[in-house]
Amino acid sequence: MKILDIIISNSSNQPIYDQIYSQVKSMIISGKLKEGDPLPSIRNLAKDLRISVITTKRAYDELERDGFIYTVAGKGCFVAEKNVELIREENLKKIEEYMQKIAELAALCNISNDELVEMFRILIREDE
Amino acid sequence: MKGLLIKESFLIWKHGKFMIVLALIYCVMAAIKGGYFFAGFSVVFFSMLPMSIMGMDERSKWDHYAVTMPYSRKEIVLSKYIMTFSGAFASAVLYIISTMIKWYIEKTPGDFMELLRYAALLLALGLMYSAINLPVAFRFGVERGRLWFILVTVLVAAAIGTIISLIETDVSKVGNFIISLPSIAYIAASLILIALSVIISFRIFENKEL
Amino acid sequence: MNALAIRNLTKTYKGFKLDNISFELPKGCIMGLIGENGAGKTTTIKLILDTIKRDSGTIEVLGEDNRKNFKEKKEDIGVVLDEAYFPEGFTAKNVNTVMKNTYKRWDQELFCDYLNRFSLPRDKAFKDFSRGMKMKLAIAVALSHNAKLLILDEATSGLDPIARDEILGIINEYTRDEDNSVLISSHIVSDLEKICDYIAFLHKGKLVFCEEKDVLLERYGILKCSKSDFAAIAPDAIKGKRENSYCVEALVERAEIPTGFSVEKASIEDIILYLAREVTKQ
Repeated sequence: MKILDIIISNSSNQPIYDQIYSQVKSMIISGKLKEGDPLPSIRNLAKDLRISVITTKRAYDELERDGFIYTVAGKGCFVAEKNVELIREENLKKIEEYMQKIAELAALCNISNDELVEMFRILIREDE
Repeated sequence: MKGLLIKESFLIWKHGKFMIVLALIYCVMAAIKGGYFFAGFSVVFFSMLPMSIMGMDERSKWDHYAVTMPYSRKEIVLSKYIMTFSGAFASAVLYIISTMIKWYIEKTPGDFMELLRYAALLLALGLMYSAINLPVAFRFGVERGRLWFILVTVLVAAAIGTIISLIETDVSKVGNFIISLPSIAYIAASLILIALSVIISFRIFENKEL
Repeated sequence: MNALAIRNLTKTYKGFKLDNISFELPKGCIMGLIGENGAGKTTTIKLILDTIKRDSGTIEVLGEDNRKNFKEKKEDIGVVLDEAYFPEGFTAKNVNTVMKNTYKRWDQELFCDYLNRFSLPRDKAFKDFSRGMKMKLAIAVALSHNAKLLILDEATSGLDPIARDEILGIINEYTRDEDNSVLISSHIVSDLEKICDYIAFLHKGKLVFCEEKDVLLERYGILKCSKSDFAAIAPDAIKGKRENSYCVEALVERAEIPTGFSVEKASIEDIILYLAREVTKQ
């Protein structure tokens, strides 16, 4: 089994299952984990990281739901075929994240949604 | 129950050595010097051993731990009685052996049947002593029951002393009566007492919150 | 299957009542039973082990009522109690001999492995052991008879951090096997935070919650803001608060807090402290 680099931060606001999810996902997308590579079992991963089994199970469930991995009964979890859809989805998610940050900052400065859209339009027009 | 008995044996060996040696000496003295004083005390010593072991158990709260193991409460109670029984039995056997050794050395053969009867009396004494004390130990613990044990010991010692003096002064018939009773009677009486004692201890320990 | 299923468990003492406790420990999981001294943790554990009698309620251990045939079931339960041990004069070797004749599936080799791993002397009398050593011996015993359920009552209290970490590591390893479950009680929350799957919080005899640890961490957060900002928060979202002259710190339901407020991660210890104060107020 390939050695996975999974680093959990306890102080971060990001839930641990999400940290695992993101890190495994980026390893798959970047190609560090190739199609068909086996992943550590839910239990072993939890025990090695000294975290709850429920956490790792959730991370794996979400990875499977989103098509990044699949489970073979009795054998374990494996990396699924990488496809273009996934990469596009990844980028969409990143955009959402940035948008979220923008919304928070705007709320702090009391910038209205209309002003925001206007700012964006100006930015795009500048690029064009 | 085997594990419990092994545990009791370990403790008796580790902590009872002094008492065992003392009891042995008393036993031998009883055989050599005759008389019931030493014999009676050796029986009492042997019977007191499980009691002091129970005291150690209490300090480490062993019973709290033992009830989480695959033992029934009855087994835990029985293991203490078995040790006591063995102790009393051992002291009676020792008494017989040391008396016979004395006979051999002094080349004065004695009445074997009478020897057996005295030994039976000793055995019965030991059993009765434990029968009275163990339920109290189970109910109140060895520490809190100490007063009772001392009382019983004093009474038993007084009783032995009285009987001895009655026999030796030969004044009343009571002394002789007591000796002449068939040993079976004593053994039977003590066994009945032990049976009652066991039943009571079972009840006490079954309901004890640990 | 559940390793433990407790329903409506009640036990009354003079001045204390364990009040209608219900929870389940799914197989293969670690549950931390947290509460201050006197909250009822030891009482709960003793009721599970049937060493004290309940007033009412049902307890199922490894699938069976603990009033039926419990002697057999105890073969499958490893127990570490807070202050109950082998008699003083015992050595580890003696322990092995007694346990060999106590448990059907006693594994002497495994026990010796643990003795080595914990650096426990074979021939030293128990009374000369430090508390940490006594605990480690008790744990070695509990782990050496192929138990399916491990119950530990305050197994880490009174130990130095290194020993505590070692023991938690061993509990962690024990549950690598999905047939093994653990119930561990402690008043040191930080010990249990990492490895537990479930947290049950007992306070003054009542079960305040029994929840997946992850759910707790996701649901709650710590909000720090000014008093004026605080007034704008819906009261339902606030689960406990602390005020000083400069600001307000509150335990809040993350989902109920509008964007713009920064909500920090709440540790299990935070959650418990805040909720305990609220329960005490009521």
